[in-house]
Order: sequence, then structure tokens, then C-alpha cells
Amino acid sequence: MSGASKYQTPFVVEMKDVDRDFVRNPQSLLNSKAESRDAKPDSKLHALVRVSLRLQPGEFVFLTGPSGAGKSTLIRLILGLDQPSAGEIITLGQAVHKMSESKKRELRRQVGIIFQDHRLLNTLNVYENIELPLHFLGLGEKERRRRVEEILEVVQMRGHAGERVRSLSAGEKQRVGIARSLVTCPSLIVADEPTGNLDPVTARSLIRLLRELKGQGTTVLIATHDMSLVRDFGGRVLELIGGSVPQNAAQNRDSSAYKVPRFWNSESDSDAGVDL
Amino acid sequence: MIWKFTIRHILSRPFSAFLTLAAITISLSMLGGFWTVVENLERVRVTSAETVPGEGLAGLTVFVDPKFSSEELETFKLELLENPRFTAATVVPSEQALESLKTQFGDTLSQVFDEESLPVTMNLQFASGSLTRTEFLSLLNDLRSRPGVLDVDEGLGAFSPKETAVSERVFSWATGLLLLVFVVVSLLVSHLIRLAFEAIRGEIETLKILGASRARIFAPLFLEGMIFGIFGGLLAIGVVSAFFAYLVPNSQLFMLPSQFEMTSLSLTSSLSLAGLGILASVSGALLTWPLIDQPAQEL
Repeated sequence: MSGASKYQTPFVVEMKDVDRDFVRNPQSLLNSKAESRDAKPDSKLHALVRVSLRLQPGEFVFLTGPSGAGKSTLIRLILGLDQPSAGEIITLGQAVHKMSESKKRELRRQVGIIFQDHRLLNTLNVYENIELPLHFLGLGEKERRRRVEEILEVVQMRGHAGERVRSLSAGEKQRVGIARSLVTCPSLIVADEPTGNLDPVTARSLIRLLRELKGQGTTVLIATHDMSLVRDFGGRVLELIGGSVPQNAAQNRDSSAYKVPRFWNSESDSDAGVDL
Repeated sequence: MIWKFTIRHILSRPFSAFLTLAAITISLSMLGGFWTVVENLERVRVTSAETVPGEGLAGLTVFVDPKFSSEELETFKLELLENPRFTAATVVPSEQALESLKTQFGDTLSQVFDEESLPVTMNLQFASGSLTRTEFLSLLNDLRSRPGVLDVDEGLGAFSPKETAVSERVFSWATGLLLLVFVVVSLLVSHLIRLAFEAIRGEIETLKILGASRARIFAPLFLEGMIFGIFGGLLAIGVVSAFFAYLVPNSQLFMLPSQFEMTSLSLTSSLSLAGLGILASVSGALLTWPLIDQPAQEL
């Protein structure tokens, strides 16, 4: 099973023609009927339509787009937290769309994940929260201590090691969240709106920290709708536009009218359309 | 790490942990109380006093091979008295034994035996106390299997058929009710543990996203269930013991006859109660497995 899902690819993440459809709830179908009696309502919501992308090793990438564009869906698919309706997803050389749940968990141990709400465990202190992914990797105590102490220095949280996370500020919590994602030395870091709850100064310092990883060969994918961060930090930008449209709705019968997700690369200044 | 995680979880929500433990203890105590009543119904009371129907059994009558020499008979007696349940073993003189046969079965049977062929009749007197049904039957089997023993009369004929029938009916109803209470308590405790785990659902989802294996997520939940089960079981044993040792005798709660001594839960049953607590809590923990097994729900 695991052998069959291994891929030889130079890319850290590769998505090929990925669709993700969700079943609409019955109430929205009823509303849709009331609005246009002649139109046959689509029972599916197309969150992502034929999305293809490739992330190179060491790339620093912003994934932007308005709320509901499908940024989080795309990230969930990369991490194996969701299953695509069609297409292929290869993360760190493994076909995520074909993997069992336990293999997906193994894969996520190799990825640094940063959440908007940091998702720290309140029952553990700062040190223990950062140490957590190292337990999942089965590292010995000595190695765990070495790595946690090192990463505490990097995020400038050494003085807070023994503190409960409840007593930390939002910025400090996010620093701990970043430390937890870095401590395993992952080759891919995925962050979903990591600065959403932070003030602009703290947000910039955190993005700067992640940006520094580029030099170490780590691929960083940050989903954000804060365009000022994107402008200030540059890097490659993937813009996801209108990820979900009703495919069979009467008013959108012409396929050219579909708002297909589109990516563009700000560094190369090219408007490459769906594929990159 | 797993222990630390478990203990921190419990301590992080002391009120909820206290309520869970209290509910488990109360449920198990109710079961334990009922169990004690059933166990007392099931007991065979033995007494060193003379047999009085309904109050106990004074002794057993053992019929021994008449070919036994007096030395062999003496050795046999000493072997029997090694069992602390017996206080005395007396050989009934043959004339008295024949007389007793005549009284019990009439002339026909008593004429089959003469003094030479009449089995040696030995009365075994119990020390006061009580035995469970299983212990009593095993004691009888042990006696019957000894070389030279022809038969053992347990003297249960002292109870009238009506008394025996009522006793058996009460016992079967009590056993049925005990099973019902057992199922209810197991479900209740399992549900309590499951509710406690629902409180940390968010953490479970985070662990899944970070790549924790099922076993690593389940281990602290399992331990938590074990801890609740062990402490709940031990506290329930304490409550039941205190109830039957102090409250029942002092309040005549069940309006028992003064001669009827209510015995508290036996060691075996106490351990079984604690075991049940652990089993129920662990099954509660197992109910969380589908939560752990399903893919992470949110990012």
C-alpha cells in the first residue's frame, strides 16, 4: 500500500486537476428552487475545480484569495485532512489521495502545521507543547530536549518554557505554535491564516521568522487574505479566485463563464492560468 | 508522557473529574449493595448450635466404610478436623445409628443392615459462620471423594419443600435483577467516561492533525478510564462495607430477624466489584475509539 503510493517527484507538493465538491445542504437547495423555477439546482458545491499546482523545495509561497475561495480546503487536501473528489495530490512524494488514514497521520508528522488559533494544548506547558511532535516521531529524551531548547531560542521564548500556555499573549502563543511546527525540522510548513489573530507588528515578525527558513531549504506555504503581508514579503503568490461555483446552474451553462481557480506568480509576473 | 498527560487532564477539570468519580462510586455502590443482599441470600449458614430451620445448619453426617479399622477411622477423623470449618467429629454408636435409620426410613431399610454391614455414621459439627453455595458444594464434593466415604448427608431436609421453593425463587429473581443492575451500571459508567472525553474533543482533533497515532491518542484516555474505574470501585467497596457493617445493624434497616446476621461483601465479590468498575470505565474509554479512528474533523 505504502509502496504503491510513493512517487518520484522533484516537487514538495504537486496537485493535478484536483476537484473538491461538497454536498449542499437541503435548505440551500430549496432556496435555489425558489429563486429560479426553471433551473435545476446543483446538489453540489464546487469548492475547488481542476486545480493544479507545484511547490518547489525551499519555496516561500503565499496562498491568497477572499474568504470562501477554497484556501483552507486546498490546505486540508495537501495535508490529507480531506479527500479530493477527483485528481491527484502528492505531498512529500506520497500520493495523499490514495493513502490510508494511518499513513496520512505518518505523513503529517513530517509536515509543520501552523493554525490561526495556534491549537496549543492547555494542559501542557510551553516546553511540553513544543516537544509533542517529537514524541510522535519517537525521538529519545536527550534529542527532544536539545531540539526544544534550540527552537525556544529561535522563537525567543526560552524564558517562558515552564509557563502554561493560558498565561501567554496571542503573539506568544503563535510563536509557540510556530516552534512546535519547526521542531521536527520539516521540509514543508503549511500555515493557515497564521496572523489572523495578531497585531500587524507581531504578524510581520512571525512571517519574517518563517521567511528565514527559505534559506534552509524548507518550503513554506502560507494561506492569508492579508495582502499587505504579501506585498511586504514578496515571494511566490498563488491566488485562488472564486473556488466554488454551481456547475450546472442555468445562468452558468456556458463553461467559459465558470470562475475556475486561477494561480499567478508574482515573482515571475506571469498570469499562468490554472496550471503552474 | 502518557501518564503526565492523563494526570494533567484530570487535574485540569477537577469539578468534572470529581462529579464523574462520584457518579461512578454511587452507581457501583448501588450495585455493590444489591450484590451483598444477593450474596447473603445465597449463603449457606452453618452454626455450632442445634439445627433450627431457617437459621443454619449444625453439621453433616458422613457414612464411612464399615471395613475401616478403629485406627483408620481415627486417622480419618483427624484428617477431617484439619479443616477449620469443622469443630468436632463424633462416631455415632451402631445401635443409635440403626435406631435413627428405623425412625427415618422404617423397618424395611433398617433390616437390610446388621451391625457388621452398617456403615460407620459420623457427625461432623461446623464452626459458626457462613459459606457461599459454591464453597458448601465444594466441601461436600471433597468429603464424598475421600476414600472410604460412602455418602454424605447435608441435612438440608431440615428445610421444608415450601421454604426451599421460596428461597430458590427469590434467589433466581435476585440474580436476574443483579444482572440487570450490572448492565445499567456498565452503561451509565461508560456514558460518563465518554462524556468526560467529549470535553477534550478539540485536543483529540489537534493531536490527529499533528499526526499522533491512534494508540498514542487512546492511551491517556484508556488510563483515565482505568483511574476512574479503580478509584470508583475502591470507594464503592468502602461505601458498601460501611453501609452493611454500621448502618444496617444499627438501624435495622431491613427489619431483619435479630438472629439473622447480614454479612458484608466477601473479598472475592469486592474484587469483582472493583473489576466491574474498571471494566465499565474501560469500555467507556473504548466507546471513544470511533472518535479517534475517524479522520481529523477540522483545521
